Amino acid sequence: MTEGRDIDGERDLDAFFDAARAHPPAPSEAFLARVVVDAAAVDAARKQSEAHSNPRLGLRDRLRGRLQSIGGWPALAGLATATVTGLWIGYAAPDLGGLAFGAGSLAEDGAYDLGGLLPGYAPTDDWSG
Amino acid sequence: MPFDALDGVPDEALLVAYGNGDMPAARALTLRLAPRAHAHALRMLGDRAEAEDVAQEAMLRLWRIAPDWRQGDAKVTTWLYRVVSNLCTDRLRRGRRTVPIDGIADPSSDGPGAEARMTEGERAAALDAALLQLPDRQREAVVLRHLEGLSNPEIAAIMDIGVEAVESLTARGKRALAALLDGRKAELGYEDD
Repeated sequence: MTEGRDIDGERDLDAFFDAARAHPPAPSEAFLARVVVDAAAVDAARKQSEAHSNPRLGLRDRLRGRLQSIGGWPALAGLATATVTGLWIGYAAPDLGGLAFGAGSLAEDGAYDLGGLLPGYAPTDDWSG
Repeated sequence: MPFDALDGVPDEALLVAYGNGDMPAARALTLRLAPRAHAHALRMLGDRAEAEDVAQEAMLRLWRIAPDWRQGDAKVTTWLYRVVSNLCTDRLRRGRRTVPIDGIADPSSDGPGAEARMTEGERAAALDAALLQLPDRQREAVVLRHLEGLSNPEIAAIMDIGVEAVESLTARGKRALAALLDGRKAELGYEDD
């Protein structure tokens, strides 16, 4: 094949290419419908898969909801602080000194001696004022 | 959303939309891309049923990767042609297709200009038949360049070869096509143009 023949051949081919582009093979309607059905099936399977993973997300949501119901993270921090403080008090058992609420803190007749607790208090029998 | 509202939307955006559950985007992509995938597979394999199987499988793979698609990573058409190309190559390795492409225009069509349309349809059919006689790689390069209108770099990415190799395959393919079609020009009315 000569060079000149190549040039002519390419020019000839353009007419064939133009004709082929003007007459592209048409896909059938059934084929296009199957492709769309595949798209819907893949989408449905993906959504179902996401729904199956929702229980884990639901647990997180429930925990978050309960936390919010008690005031959120600040409230949880306060609760933790109070818990630790209570444990410390329990284990350290601080010396209460003279404070005793056992025997002797009550009068012999079982009544409170308010005079001891309230020095300014003067008992009187006159309630009429 | 009506299809015409999606006309100007890029393929990549439609694919991401479908990945987020937008079925109208999937239908628009089907009308845009499935005919191209089918045409390429048909010209590679020469059999309509096999071409539809390949194109459907390629589109199915596209649907599956949609949620992971990132806009700007690649062109959807390049990705799709590459999948079609690989699927066709697999089938061609299993057994050469011998069934010729059908669908040539009916020569008995009536009406004004029917003869001219028939001649053009016959030219198209003659080209498709000649393409099937080319080596697979030459055929693919010529089809992607001259019928699908892709650039050489795009074809290189699809065929996983260099641009120079694409140019070589295309040139050799066109020379072979010219020789195959040379004896049919008068028969097909080309010399009357």
